[in-house]
Amino acid sequence: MELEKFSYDNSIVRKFIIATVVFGVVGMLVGLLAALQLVWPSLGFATDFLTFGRIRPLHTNAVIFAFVGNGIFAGVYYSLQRLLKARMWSDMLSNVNFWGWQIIILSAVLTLPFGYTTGKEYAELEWPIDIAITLLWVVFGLNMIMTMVKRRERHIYVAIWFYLATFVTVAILHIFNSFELPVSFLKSYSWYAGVQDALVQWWYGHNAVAFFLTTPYLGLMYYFVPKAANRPVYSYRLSIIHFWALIFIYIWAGPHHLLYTALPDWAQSLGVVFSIMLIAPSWGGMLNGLLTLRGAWDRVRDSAVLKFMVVAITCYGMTTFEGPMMSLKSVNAISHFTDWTIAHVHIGGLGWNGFLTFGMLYFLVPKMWGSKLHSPTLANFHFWIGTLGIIFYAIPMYWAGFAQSQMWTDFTDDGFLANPIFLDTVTKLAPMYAMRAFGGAIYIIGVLVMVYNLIMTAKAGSFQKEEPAEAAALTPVYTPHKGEHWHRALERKPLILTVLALVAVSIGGLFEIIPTMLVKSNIPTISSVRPYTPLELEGRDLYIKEGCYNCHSQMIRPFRSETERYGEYSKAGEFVYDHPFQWGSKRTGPDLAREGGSKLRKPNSWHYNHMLDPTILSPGSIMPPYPWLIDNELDMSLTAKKINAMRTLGVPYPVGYENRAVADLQAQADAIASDLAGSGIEVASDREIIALIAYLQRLGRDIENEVETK
Amino acid sequence: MMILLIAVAFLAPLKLSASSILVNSTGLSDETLLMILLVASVLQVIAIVVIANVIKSLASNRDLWQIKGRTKAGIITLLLGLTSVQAMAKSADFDALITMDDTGFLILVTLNLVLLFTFLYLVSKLNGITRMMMDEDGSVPETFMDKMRTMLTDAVPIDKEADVEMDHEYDGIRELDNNLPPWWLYGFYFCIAFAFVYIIYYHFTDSGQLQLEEYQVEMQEAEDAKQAFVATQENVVDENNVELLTDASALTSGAKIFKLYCAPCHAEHGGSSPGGVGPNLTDDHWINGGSTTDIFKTIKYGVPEKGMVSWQAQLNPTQIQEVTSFIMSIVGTNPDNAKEAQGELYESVIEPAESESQEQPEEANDEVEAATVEE
Repeated sequence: MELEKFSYDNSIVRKFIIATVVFGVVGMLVGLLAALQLVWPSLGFATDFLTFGRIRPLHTNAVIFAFVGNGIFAGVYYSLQRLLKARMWSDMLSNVNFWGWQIIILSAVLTLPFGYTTGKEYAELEWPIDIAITLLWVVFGLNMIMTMVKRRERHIYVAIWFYLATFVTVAILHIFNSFELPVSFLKSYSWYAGVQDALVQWWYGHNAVAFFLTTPYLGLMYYFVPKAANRPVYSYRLSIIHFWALIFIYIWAGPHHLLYTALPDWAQSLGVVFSIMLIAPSWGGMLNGLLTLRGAWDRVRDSAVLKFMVVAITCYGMTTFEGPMMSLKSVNAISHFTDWTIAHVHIGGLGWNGFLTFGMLYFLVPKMWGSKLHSPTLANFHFWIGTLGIIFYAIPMYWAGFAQSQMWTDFTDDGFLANPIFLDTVTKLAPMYAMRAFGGAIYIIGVLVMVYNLIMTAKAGSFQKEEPAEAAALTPVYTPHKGEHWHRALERKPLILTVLALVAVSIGGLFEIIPTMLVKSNIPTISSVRPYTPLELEGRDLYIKEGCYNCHSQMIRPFRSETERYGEYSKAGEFVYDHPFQWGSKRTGPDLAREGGSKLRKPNSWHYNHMLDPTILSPGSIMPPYPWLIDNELDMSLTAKKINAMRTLGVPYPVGYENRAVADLQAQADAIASDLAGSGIEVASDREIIALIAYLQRLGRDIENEVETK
Repeated sequence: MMILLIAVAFLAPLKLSASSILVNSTGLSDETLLMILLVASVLQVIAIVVIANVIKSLASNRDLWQIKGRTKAGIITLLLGLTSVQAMAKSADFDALITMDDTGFLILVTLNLVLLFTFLYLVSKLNGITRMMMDEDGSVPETFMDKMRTMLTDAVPIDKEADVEMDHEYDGIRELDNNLPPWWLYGFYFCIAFAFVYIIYYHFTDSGQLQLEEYQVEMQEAEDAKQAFVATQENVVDENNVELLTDASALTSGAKIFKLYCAPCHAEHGGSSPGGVGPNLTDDHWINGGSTTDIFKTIKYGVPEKGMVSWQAQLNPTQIQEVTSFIMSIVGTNPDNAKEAQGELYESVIEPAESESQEQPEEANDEVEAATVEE
């Protein structure tokens, strides 16, 4: 048979490697800034674009989509070509993929800090960027699938199964979660409301972890671990079973982010049991990774690459056991809304994604630049300081989570909350927050050392843009071995494999989401719940813009400790006009679901002073000040359009109301301004602060009116 | 022995949370648990030191400097970790609102866990060294751990792995076809079984409490516990029997509460400020009445329509009485930079406390009961 000569495209891999490193450093530094702001709130510099509420989404988006995203592409573009014995199908598409992705990242940097956000976690980017991501993702998938069609290797290796599952699932998740109705070029409303929006969002959020941070990285593990260790993969059988089980089960588990919320019980229970069933498939990946190193453990000691990979896989095993445990309702009651979750995701992020990326980089750079690693000592240093960084990050956060949860739920003998002032449970955490920032800082020092080491390594060698290779073309006819495993046949048919993966991941999503959308009884209506007034709607948009949901939940769980503190637990029917929902996932500040309710209601002047500088009224508060809300005039140019958009989404504003909306808005704003004037505060009624106060005072009130009318 | 202690250590927090809810719980007392945890950590430290010394002596006899280096690194990490725990324990000022016991237990449990991991790490190191030494002698007896490993993973030994190697390779990557590790497989089956049992228990039988039922039970239990506690108390202060306190300790306590909870809106001197959130409490004008009873009620129930929040969920009746008394004590102090007067002039600033309580003694008792039931 004749050997065909071709070459692997290394320059696209180099581009992605550089982007990975650059955005890794940037994303982590932004994270460090956010961590420090919780210790020293003045680090927000009283500047709108540097507040925690805007910086935190920038951090999550940067490390997930810019650092890990580019890491995925670097690893996939390197391994895919070699596993298929084929150059990428189209260099043009490869480059469109690269530059397009970087432009998307840049647009995130240019929108998120300036308050352009959809208000849905990890999906904050506005609709034009969402569309660009969709197109880019198709470019990536098309290039990958066409390369498979043109391959010279008969069977598709397990790493590529994971890449395929990643491609199809991320596409579905992104498209369905990003259904939104544009109001203007950079403002849109989620298509779904309240409970439904929450379910779709966490179906997305959970599976973004699954199919963006996990499956592609498992694929990378299946390529780089056996390569670096020069050992055969432990078990082919295990890889088949854990692959299919993992992608099928993962998609169901999203509701575990919404335990004890207003989500229907049946959906919560599905979230719980599928999370528990997920332990084994996840651990299948860990076992196949670690057991592949059988007989190579002596080399782990000397090889930075292997060391990073071992800790990465171990961290993967830890988080994928901890995650299901946190999905048990009794554990979730403690962990939810606390820093425990933050510790959990950082074991995954810093350990699994970070360390596997570092291992991959230490493997690839010497190989692609044809040189030896500049300094194994520095790599070793990076390994140890990185590991310490993870420990110093995680332990204080676990501690903070337990301590805060305990403080929230403690009661005195005579039935009072032991810590009635929420702020007291926050100020206690200051030493832990400082320790966490220290852990993060030394982790970043390690990364910077790596950057230096990699640059020096690259400088010592010369980069080979085109790596020559040769392989025989596939023959049109193939006779399978006798008695081959049935799954082998599937591995020869990448398109069928893709379709089956699509089916596997669709079942869980459809099973949960369709009934929630269709069955009326899932969201019992509450007659007194009314749409927001135009002023409240504008205030709500400011709440979203400032990223308040990053620190404040709007979901009172049915616990004594929460109803005593905040008032009646939240009901599904209260959120029917919330496009998007704002339940939040973390309580760095108190819950706001009933901020306007009788239990928590405060005068307008309280809110005014509190937004001007939270420490006036709450000494020791770590909330940043929002003085610009008092200076900025409220933009009313879109109010009518917003009313129309909401009506399209099913909010019952009467026809023609959009014409009266601004007048209504001004009347309500004047009333608030004159009330403030009564307290001696002179502020024009056209300021943003007025709208935000109107929204906060509205929160949680409707349900009380029902009680009154009864 | 060690494992047993650790198991107790794990159970400690569970038991603790139970004890903070139920006043009288049976079982180990907190002191006993504390002792067990302390003993466990001391024993573990001893064991770790012993093993570390064994490793050290073995390592110094043989050319095993790499292993020694690693052990050192592990110990340094451990020490750093422990220091951080201590630093946190010291810096976190847990005196007032979180009970010291719970924090102490958390520290001890964490400490024990760290120690356990170190212990296990050192044991495995020791095993490794032992095996290497035996290796040199040419005889490798199958240890218990080896047998366990084989049983758990069902793996083909490395020297026979050619038997299970698949006939393909991808970019040099070969694949074995080892059996599924039995513990993994049965663990998977167990989880699937758990899922079915869980769903059936909660959704197809009436046995499991779903969240709202769970909530009602929790509230009922809390109410019962509160009633039981209140029954043991003598006098519960409420708006019908509240008296002005004048002793220094009550006023100091009231001042403390005032500073913590009231000062944000009414200023520390009580006079608020021009444009301040709350009204001036030091003048003789009152929006919601200026008698002891009025002020007590204003604090307890709040006046939502005027912006005053209710404090009965945050402060107990005695605390409300104390802060009421403190407020009465600052009337007429006329601090600088206070807010202008609001509300109506209240004539008798300090009313005779006796007369009030004499007026309605019988009624008051009924009201006490009514109020308690209502709570």
